[in-house]
Amino acid sequence: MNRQEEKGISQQIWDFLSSMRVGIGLLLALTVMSLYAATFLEHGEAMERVYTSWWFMGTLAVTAASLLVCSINRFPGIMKRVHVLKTDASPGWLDSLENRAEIAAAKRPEVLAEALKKKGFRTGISFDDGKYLISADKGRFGYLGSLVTHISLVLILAAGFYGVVAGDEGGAAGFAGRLIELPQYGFDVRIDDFTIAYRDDRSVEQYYSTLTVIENGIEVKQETIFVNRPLRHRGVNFYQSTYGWGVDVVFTNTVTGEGEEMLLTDGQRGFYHPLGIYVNVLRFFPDFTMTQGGMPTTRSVYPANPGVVFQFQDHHGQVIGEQFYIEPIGREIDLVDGFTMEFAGYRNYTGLQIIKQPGKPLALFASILLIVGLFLCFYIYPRRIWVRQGEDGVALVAGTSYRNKVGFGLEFEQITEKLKTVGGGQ
Amino acid sequence: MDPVFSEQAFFVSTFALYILAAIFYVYYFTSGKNSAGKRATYIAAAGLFTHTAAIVLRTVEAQRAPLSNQYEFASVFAFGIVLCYIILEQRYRARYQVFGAFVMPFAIIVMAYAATLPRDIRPLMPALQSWWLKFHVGTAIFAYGSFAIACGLAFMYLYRARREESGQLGFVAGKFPSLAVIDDFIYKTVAFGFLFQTLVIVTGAVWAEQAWGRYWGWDPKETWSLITWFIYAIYLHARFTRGWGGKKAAWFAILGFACVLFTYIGVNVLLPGLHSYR
Ligand code: HEM
Repeated sequence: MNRQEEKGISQQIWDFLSSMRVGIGLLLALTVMSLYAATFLEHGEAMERVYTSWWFMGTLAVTAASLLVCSINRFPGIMKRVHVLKTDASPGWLDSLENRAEIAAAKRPEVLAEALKKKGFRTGISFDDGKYLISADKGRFGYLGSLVTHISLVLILAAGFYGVVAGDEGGAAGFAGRLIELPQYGFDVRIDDFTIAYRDDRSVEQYYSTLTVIENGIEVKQETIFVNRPLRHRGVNFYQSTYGWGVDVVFTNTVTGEGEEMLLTDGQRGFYHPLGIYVNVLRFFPDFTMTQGGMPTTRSVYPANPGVVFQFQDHHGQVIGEQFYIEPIGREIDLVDGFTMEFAGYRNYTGLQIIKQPGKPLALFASILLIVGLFLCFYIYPRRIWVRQGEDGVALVAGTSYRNKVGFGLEFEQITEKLKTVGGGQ
Repeated sequence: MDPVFSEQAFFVSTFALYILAAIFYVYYFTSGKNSAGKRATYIAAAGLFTHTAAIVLRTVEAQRAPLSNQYEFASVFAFGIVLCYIILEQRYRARYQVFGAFVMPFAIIVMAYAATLPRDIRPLMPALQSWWLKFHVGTAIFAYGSFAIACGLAFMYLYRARREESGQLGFVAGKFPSLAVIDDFIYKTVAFGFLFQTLVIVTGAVWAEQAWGRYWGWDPKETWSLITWFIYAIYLHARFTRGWGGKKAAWFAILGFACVLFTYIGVNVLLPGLHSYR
């Protein structure tokens, strides 16, 4: 029987997940999958067929498992390296290190150890056959780097999965005055105001919605949101997302003086009982003009020349008269029997996204941890130096670093220079 | 003087200085004369100075950070390459100036690309008005800058490795540092870039959450920056794995930079999405 078969299946899975090669394979697989989806599929299709598919999610889950397993495997060894200064450096091994120098052996090793300590090293002195060995290390927290990095990645993935499972996403739109009821969250939000700020060139500078949060009939807070500044309340976030136009339609019976007002948005129709007709607003154009081909269009998003394209329908929905009419704002249209209609004004409504993302604090924490981990990985590099007393009044300085070979080479030169001067020879 | 005109003048001077610096780096590389190396560094630093002036003038003119269209980003991208390179050179006290001859051309190519792009200053659409966006693009300068350097070094590595295999170093590869040293510098620059690329992704996610209500949406640009990140993660791991280090790792450093370029140019040109503001 060979070793493979002796191992239990769970041990084999564990070994598989802890292998760096498998880790690289998983990264490659994720690269290929996302490359395919991002490059060759439409966004919606990519979401549906790749990013939310069982095999993509599964690969992410296996990657998380792999990260966890290799972290657990390496944990004891890493902790030992962080805690324990390595003092078992045999002469033969020291001779094999890349960075070596000879200095005059100091009478008192404490002086050399002190010099290393001043450079930020942790030091220890031991004796062997009456000869001293100074062991020193620095940057030991760098060993934690990959561990912290990998754990933070597991947390980010966990936050993502949690967000998918427990998150919630919706939207609401309305004119100023509308109350958005959110019984599922235990509070309501009232739209107090919506305005668009335009620049001189009539492009949009910003959209502002003023919202009030109402809990059990009590106004809790009021905030003005805009793009890049959502309202956040009890883990639910309100984003400025879209906007649209509405027109105020006023019907008047000039004989009796009675009138009726309605507010209609694009594609909405309103029924006027006295005449039994619908007015159907097909489209509001803020800056109305006609194309070469005779189609209505808008020059800009700024309401410089507002116009309404609409039609009338009977109570069955049959079009009355022309397929469509075009009217500016503020002009009275005579209908029949002394009835008139007017597009009296226009307003904007606001469109909000309402999103609950419970994984967010964890994702943010994990992202900060990720940055810390990478910093430990790349900028706190562990290095070790030994000074071993040899024969004939010389001592061997030898050093090794876990990363940063060139940088350590330079540092090693400086340190040996320093040791030469403080040691003072015999 | 008209700031737009001055900006142009500084941009053109910068371009010229970078080309001159590259020539001196190549001269230093072939002649080994320290004086040429010194001059190359001074010229590159002068270029960095005029480049800063151009960027500052544009900031004044636009009254916002100059980090929001293809031209502006190309300009700061080149700035990032030269800045990262000068920092690297200074940290190692000009011991490895031969790298300059292989790094400056990247800055020149990116500058040339910038020169072809429209420079008109347009106001920012609401989604782009965010502090996080400035951090997002600001960190990208360093990420992309050092990835470009890593790519140049990886080409050096592969070239020298090939010459070594053939048993004859030849004139060019003979002037390179040893493979171990080049490898170490590729690693350093990728590590620096990787840290910053991570910041790019994180700040981008924070911004996306504020603007659109989701911190990750798999849009093509987002995904491509993740792909770039994966490739460099593979590079970092490959160095620890037997049979994957050396040349294979160097290929990943090149592939990574190809992904950087695709994220920056290809996605905007070829793949529509939320991010393709131009
Ligand atoms: C997106 C995924 C990953 C990222 C961003 C990542 C990041 C890193 C980083 C930055 C390092 C330190 C490298 C260095 O010091 O140069 C590292 C090391 C390491 N990674 Fe990963 N990693 C990922 C996935 C994985 C996976 C899936 C495995 C699976 C086994 C793995 C196994 C290791 C191991 C064993 C090391 C040890 C290197 C050392 O001795 O310090 N990594 N990783």
